[in-house]
Amino acid sequence: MSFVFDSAVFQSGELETLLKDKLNGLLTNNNDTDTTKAGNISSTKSHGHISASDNNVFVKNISFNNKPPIIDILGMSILDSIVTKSSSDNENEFFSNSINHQTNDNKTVKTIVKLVIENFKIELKSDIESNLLLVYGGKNIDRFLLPDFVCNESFNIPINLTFTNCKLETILDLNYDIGSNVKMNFNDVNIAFEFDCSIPLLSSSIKQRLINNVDFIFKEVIPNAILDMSMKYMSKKKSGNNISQSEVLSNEFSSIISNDEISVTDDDCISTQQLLSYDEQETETASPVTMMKLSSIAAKRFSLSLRNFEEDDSVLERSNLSKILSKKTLKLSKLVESQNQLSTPNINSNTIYEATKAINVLPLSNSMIIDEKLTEQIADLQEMLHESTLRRNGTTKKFKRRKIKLNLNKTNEQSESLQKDEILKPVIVEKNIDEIVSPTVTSNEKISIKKLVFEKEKTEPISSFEIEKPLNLVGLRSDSSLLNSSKLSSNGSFILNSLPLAHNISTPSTPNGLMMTRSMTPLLFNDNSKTSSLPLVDSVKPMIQMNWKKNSMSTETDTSSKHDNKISINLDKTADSKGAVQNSYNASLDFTYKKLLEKTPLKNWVQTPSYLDNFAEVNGNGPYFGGKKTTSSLNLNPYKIDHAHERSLNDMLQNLQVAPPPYS
Amino acid sequence: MSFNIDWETIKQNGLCNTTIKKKLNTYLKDNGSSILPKYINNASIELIDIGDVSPELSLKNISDPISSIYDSIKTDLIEEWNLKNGMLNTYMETDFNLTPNKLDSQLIVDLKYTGNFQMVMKADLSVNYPSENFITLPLKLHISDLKIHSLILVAYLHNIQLKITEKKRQKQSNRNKTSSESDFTKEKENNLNKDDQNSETPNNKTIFTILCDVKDDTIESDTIVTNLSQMKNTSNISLNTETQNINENNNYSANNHINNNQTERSYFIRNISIKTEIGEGILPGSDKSILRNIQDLELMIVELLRKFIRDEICYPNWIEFDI
Repeated sequence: MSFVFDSAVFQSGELETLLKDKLNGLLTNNNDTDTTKAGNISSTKSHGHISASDNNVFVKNISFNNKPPIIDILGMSILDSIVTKSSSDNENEFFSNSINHQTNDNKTVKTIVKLVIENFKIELKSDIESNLLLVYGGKNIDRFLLPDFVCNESFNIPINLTFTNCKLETILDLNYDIGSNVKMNFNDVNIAFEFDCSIPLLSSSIKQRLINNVDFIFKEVIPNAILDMSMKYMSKKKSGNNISQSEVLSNEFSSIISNDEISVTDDDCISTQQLLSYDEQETETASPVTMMKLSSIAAKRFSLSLRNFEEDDSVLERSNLSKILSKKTLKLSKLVESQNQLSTPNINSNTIYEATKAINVLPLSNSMIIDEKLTEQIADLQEMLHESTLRRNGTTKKFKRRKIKLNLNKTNEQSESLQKDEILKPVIVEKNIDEIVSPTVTSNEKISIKKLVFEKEKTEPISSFEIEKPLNLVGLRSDSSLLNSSKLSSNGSFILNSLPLAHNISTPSTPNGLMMTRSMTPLLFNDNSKTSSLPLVDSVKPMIQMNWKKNSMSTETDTSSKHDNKISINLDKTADSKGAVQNSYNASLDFTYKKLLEKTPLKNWVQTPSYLDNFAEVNGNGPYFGGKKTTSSLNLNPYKIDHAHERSLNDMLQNLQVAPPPYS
Repeated sequence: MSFNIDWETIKQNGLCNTTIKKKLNTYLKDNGSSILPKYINNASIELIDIGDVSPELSLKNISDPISSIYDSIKTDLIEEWNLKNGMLNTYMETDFNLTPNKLDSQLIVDLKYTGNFQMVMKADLSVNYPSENFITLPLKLHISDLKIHSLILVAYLHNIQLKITEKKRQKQSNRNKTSSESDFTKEKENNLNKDDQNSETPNNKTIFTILCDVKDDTIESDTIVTNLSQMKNTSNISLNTETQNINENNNYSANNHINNNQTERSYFIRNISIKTEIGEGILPGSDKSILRNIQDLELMIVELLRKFIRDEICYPNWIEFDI
């Protein structure tokens, strides 16, 4: 199990800077402490041991070379108790601490960790005491051979120690007492480094001395430092306790780098409780062995609770605790008089009995009735067990009732719909109309048209408009058929649809109207000739019906049923022979009509008379569908257009919304 | 009276699992930093499966709420009233009465679940010193074999009103010593709703709590069989069917995580299987080592989970919903 280090921290150098500062701070503090105590640096130096504080060591540089260390956890176990009893027979005998299972404070996480640090570099700066004259001051030289030294004082020479290509590979035991401290114990250490110093003559001797002291470093120095740091860090989290007591303790316990062991006597048991909490001022602590002894004494205290002598609460003998607790669990099962028979097909009945006895369960059968009385009894028992647990743990908080406010607003009954009443709204774009149709349409008439359209919409809802499907021609709006936004947007141009307009202009030969669109353009003409999937004209009710019978109102239903909107054009087939006046009048009308057409998109058809053959029937020829194609030019003379209906003709054309032919 | 739950409709062919996973991940992403401890980061659900078996719900009893519920609510209302009115009037004697409503009801439901629920959770245990997420330990939990059998109490209280009767007494004046009218009591009845500001809206409460665990032979036999098989594999435990103390041996089991050294009033989760994977190796594309199935860690996690549930929703603790 490998840890993942944040490589960015190593690349940026933050960790190295932090480590350097921390180490220098620690070394400086120790140096100051020693100087105040001893008064003389050199007097505290001991043979065979490197005392960093004496030589004024300063960390110059630390480098991991952007490579984080490798930490693997080879094994892990979590124990309920931190009590370890050492005896001749059993080194580790664990007792279960049954008091405080509600928290993890008495749990210990024991791990076996493999630590590998490669390509590590550290530079140290220090002073080395030097006295060349002492070379001659050895013990083996006779006294009479020694000269009289005028000055035999030593002096300090600065020295830089560089350790490069360091590799550390170790397996260590790391024990974490949750909420307390971290203890470390190195089992197997492999260390390799390249040493260099600024004084080459002393390089080999210093290196040898360092190697000799590696054991001391890894057995005492580093574990004490880790323990001290962890206890400080975790004590910060706990509430500030006993600042004054820490001062007392600081005088009793030795420093970090010391071989003196502390013997804890029975008189110190009272102060052992205070060992678990440290404040920031505490800088000195005991060795790990001492701490272990003290913590075991503190933990044993929980098993001998003298707060209450009631049988239900706490016990004086630990071994009886589980029995008393199990007696309580039977109360819930005793509430129910009838109990199911335990069925144990393949399992020993004793084991199940033990299991159920240990668990606080209610024997519930299908036939059992849970009445109010039983519910009250169960509730009271649970409450009693809860209170006894609280008393056992020494807490005073009684019940926890979490309150949650629910704001259940009634959902708005909005039809999320926009569910689209499948009424198709007409897309009346006045501008578009003006562009296509003659601009001579007055505003009043526009309004009237609009009104008509909307009224129609209300009465006759139209199904959704799809291009593929054949239209329901009844009630189809002409204005929507051509200027349907979907068509405009999809095509991007005005192209007549292949479907017939609702408006039909009836002719004398086709009083029921004809499919004008199909005869409009050559494109449509071609399409029309190919397919005729649409119903014939006969089934189409013309929206504008030409009254061939002397302008009489048609009985057929017409969208333009209003008198104002009725477009009646008297189109006689044959020329009126009643008079030349009539002819002249007709001619003038023809001329007027031509002029009118020139203003309309139909002007091109005026110029290209061949296509006009498809336009309304001329001279009594049948409807164009399947009819002969006439090549004659449009002769509008036969059509006698009443002067009074010129305006209505404009309206008609406007309603037709005839698009100009594509070739225009 | 039992309920039939159309589990197939709830499952929706796996769509329910996806929906639950998304919602939980969104919730953990938004609120994870405030809910979880600082040393747990990047918690997410990798897989969740509600299984094929629906929970068994059986209504055991419908009755009036138990008296302790009324006592608790009455205590809360009195505290609230005291906070509002203070202790200014020392001459006031107040009587508080909480009258039950006709619509107050209580349901006792038997909940049993022995399905094949599964969940895979991922998280990072991180050391935030010297910088945030300086060292992280990826952790993966496989949760399965969830077994529950408990009695649940659901109580509904409609339009809670606390009737306050204030009795004011005046000291006998020196002038009218003999007058019997010198001492008078002024009774002032007030009705106090839970929330005075919204006195017009009814104050309704729903209380949810787990009353107790129910003995279930099937659950217990399954766990014991598992324990026995596991105990045979462990070398440092002596098997003695007559005198064996399951209390101690259960500490070494992986499936039955009931710590019988400390018998609790309720466990709720009768059986659960948690398999752990820890290490950088669980990350995709990593060839590092992984530590699997640390029983002690799994036990600790289960105990933490049981403790959390016991403290939150096991009677006499409960959750109140103010509607």
